Amino acid sequence: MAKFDPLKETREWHAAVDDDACLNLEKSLKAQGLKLWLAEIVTLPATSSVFRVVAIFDGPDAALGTQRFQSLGNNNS
Amino acid sequence: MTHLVFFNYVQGSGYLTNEGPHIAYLTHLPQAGDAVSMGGARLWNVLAVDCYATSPEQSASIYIAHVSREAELPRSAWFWNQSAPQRPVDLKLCIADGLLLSSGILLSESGQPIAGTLLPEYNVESHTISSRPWGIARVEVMAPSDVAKPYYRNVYLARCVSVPESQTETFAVAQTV
Repeated sequence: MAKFDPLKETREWHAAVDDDACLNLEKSLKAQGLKLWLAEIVTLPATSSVFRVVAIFDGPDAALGTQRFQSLGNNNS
Repeated sequence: MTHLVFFNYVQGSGYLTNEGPHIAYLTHLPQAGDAVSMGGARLWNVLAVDCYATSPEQSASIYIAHVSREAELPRSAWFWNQSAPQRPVDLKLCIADGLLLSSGILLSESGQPIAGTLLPEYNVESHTISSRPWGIARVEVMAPSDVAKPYYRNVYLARCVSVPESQTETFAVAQTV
């Protein structure tokens, strides 16, 4: 059984609150001129987290681990 | 005889943190108008139940119960029909016996399940991905069998087995949105 190899994963993952947010995220990324598209939405198990889905993007500009968004914590530092 | 039924929303938002899609093995199929809990203390309405099968001749099939908080909602108003009507949407289910290990939708070919691979897991708190101790044993591709306007183009049903000897590796991914 082959392991899922994160080092070979070329797609870009972002947590989001729901499917609607995934589409909005795709619009936002495309508005930045990035060549990528929403490829998959994975529903996370029901938990206390507000992040219920993972939006996975594919395309020439998709990159795992990219820092596209500055968190509020980073802005305050 | 039992039927494998997958309960899922047709809304793109509005669900609570303790609500989620689920599978059930039922002797009697749900019907439009039935009420069902999605894990929280409120009921959702079954709008329609669609059947998907590997081929018209085979009996192996899955039923998709489409639920909404609305009592009635035309298919044209279901989330993906309304938000991205031009994009074909496939459903991916990873199950092991009575467990729903993972569910989601595919908007491209890059997420199709592949037999012989372990399932990935996204860790919400640490924003990392890793392998799960579950591997895909075989994949069944199912098409709608008796639906005029199916919500999903195809259903990819990945049958999984436990692989407890596998080791997990983690890798940091992007931030949350």
